[in-house]
Amino acid sequence: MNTMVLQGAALVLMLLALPLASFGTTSGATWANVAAIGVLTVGGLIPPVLRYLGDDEDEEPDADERDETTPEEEDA
Amino acid sequence: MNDLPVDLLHWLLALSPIVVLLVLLTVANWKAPQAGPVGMFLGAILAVTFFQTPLETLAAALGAGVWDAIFVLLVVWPALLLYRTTDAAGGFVSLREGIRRFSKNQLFLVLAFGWVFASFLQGIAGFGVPVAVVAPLLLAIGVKPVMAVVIALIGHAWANMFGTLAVGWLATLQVVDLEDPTLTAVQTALMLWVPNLAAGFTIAWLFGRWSAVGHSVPLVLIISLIHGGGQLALAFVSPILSTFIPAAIALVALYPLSRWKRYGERAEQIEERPAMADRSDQDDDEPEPVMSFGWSLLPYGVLTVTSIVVLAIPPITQAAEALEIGFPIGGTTTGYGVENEAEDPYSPMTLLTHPVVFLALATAVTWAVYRAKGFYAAWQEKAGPQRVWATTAGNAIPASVAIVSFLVLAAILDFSGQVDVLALGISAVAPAAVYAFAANFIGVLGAFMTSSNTSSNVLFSQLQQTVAGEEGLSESAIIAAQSTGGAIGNAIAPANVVLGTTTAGIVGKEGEVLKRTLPWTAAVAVLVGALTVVMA
Repeated sequence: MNTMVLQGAALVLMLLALPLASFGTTSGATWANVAAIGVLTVGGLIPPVLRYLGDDEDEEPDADERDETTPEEEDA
Repeated sequence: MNDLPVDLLHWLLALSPIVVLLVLLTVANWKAPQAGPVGMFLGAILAVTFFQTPLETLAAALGAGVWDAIFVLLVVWPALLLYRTTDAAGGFVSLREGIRRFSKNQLFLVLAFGWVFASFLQGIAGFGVPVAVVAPLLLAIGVKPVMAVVIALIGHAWANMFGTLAVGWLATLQVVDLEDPTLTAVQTALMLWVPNLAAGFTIAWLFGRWSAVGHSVPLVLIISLIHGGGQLALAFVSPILSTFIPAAIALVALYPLSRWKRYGERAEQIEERPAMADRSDQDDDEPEPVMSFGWSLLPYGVLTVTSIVVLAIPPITQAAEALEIGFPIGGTTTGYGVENEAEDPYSPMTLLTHPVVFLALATAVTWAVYRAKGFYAAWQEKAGPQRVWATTAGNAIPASVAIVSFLVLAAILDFSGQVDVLALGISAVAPAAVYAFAANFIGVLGAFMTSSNTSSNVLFSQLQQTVAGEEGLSESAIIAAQSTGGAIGNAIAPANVVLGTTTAGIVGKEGEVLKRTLPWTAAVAVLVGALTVVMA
C-alpha cells in the first residue's frame, strides 16, 4: 500500500469521527463516542507512523523541484 | 462560572500542544500532516488527564473540530482543482506572458498580486481563498514557492477582520454587547492600518531588500492610504463594506499606477531579488502559450463576479443563506464545570455563500470554455499529458489530514477549557498596561489555533471585554486589539499555511513558511500592542 492510499485512509477515518460524535453526543450512545475517538486516533496515527516507517516520499506527484533557498542561504 | 485551575502548571500544560506543534514544524521540520496529529493527541491527553474532560466531551470536541475543518477543506479542494484545471491548459504560462506586457516591473506585480489582489479576495470571499488562489499566481510571475505563500499570507492578513463582508465583526457583535460599536469599529480600523502598511513594506523588503522598499514607497503609501484610510473612513458608516470597497478601489488604482513609468518599467536599481526564482533557463524550454492573456484571466473573472453577485447583492445573499447544513453536537461539560451548550446544528454552513460554490463554478466554466476553445488539446500537444485529478488529490489529501488535526486540536483546547486557562492566566498576572499590550497577542493565539479571525473573536471577545472592565481599560480599544490580533494571526495559522503550501505544490515546507511569517506577526503584534497601550 503506498503513502497516498494510507493518507487517504487516514483522512476518511478522521472525517468519519464527525457523524459518530454527532450521534454519540446527541443520543448518549457511549459506543458511538468511543468509536469516534477510535477512528480519529487510528486515522491520526497513520501520518506520524509513516514518517518512522521511512515511507515518507513527497506527497505531491508532480511537484517540481523548484528553485528554493533556506533563510540561511538567502541571508548569506 | 467554572472552577478551572488558573495556575502556572496548568497554563504551561495548556500552552504545550501549541508549542510542540510550532517546534515540530519550524525546528524539527516535520511536515504539517505529521506534526498536526501529534499536537492533536497531546491536546487530547492533557484534556483528559489534567483538565477533567470526560469521554463524551472529548468526542464532542472531535466532532466540532472535524466540522470546522470541513469549512476549510471546501476551499482547499476546489481551489486546487481550479489551479490544476487552469494549468493543464497552459493558463499560467499565458498569464505570465500577458502580465509581462502589462508591466515590466516585478516589484509592482508582486505587490499587485500578493497584497492588492489578495486583499480584494479577502474583502469578498475570505475563508483562505486569497492564500489558495494568490500563491499559484505569484508562482506564475516567477516568485519562489515558499515566498509566494509567505507573501500571500502577509498580504491578506489585515483584511481578515472586516473582510468577507465583515463576518468577523458581525460575529463579535453577537458575542459581546459593546457600549459603543462605532468607536470600536473605528479603533479596530485604525489598528488594522498597522498590519496593512507593514504588509506592503514587508513584501517589498522580501522582494528586494531595502532598495525595493525605497522603490516601493509611493506605491505602498498610495495603496495603504486607500486600504487603511478607506477602511477607517467607512468604519464610521458601514463596517460591513469597510474592507471590500477600499480593496476594490485599490485594485482599480493599479491600472493608473502601472502607467506611471516608475512602475511600468523594470526597476534596474533593485539588483538583489531573493524572492524571485531565476527563470532564465526555464524560459528557453517552456512552450509558447496557447491562449491569449484575456483567456488566462477567465477563472479569476468568474470567481470575482460570482462572489460579488452572491455576497454583495442583499436579495441574492438572503436567498442563498436560506440553505443551511450541519451536524448536531450534544451539550457537554467537564469536571471543572466548563460547559458547552448543545447545538443543532453546530455552526451551520450556508453552503451557497461558501467559497466552494464560487470556486466550483469558476472551475466548471473554465474547464468548459478552455475545452471548447481547444486549449487543453493544444497544450497537451506542446507540454505532454496533464494529470488534473491525480495531482489535485495528491496535494489535497495530506493537506486535508493536517487541517483536520489542527482544527480538532483547537476544538479540544476550547471544549476542555485549556483556552480559557491560557487567556485567564495572562489576565490574572498582567497589570492594566501590560494587559493592554498583550490583548492583541490573545487574538493572535486564537487565530493561530483556529485559522480564523472570526473564531478567535468568538473565543476571546467576552473574556477581553470582562478583563477590560476589571482593569479599567477602554473596552473599545481592547476589543479592537483582539480583532487586530485575530487578523494578523492568520499569517501564522497552520491551516492557512497548509492552504498555501498545497496550492504552491510544496506540501511539507510549512516550517520554512512559518519561519518567515512568525517574525512578521510578532513584530506587528508588538506595534499594535504599543498602539493599544496608547488608546486604552
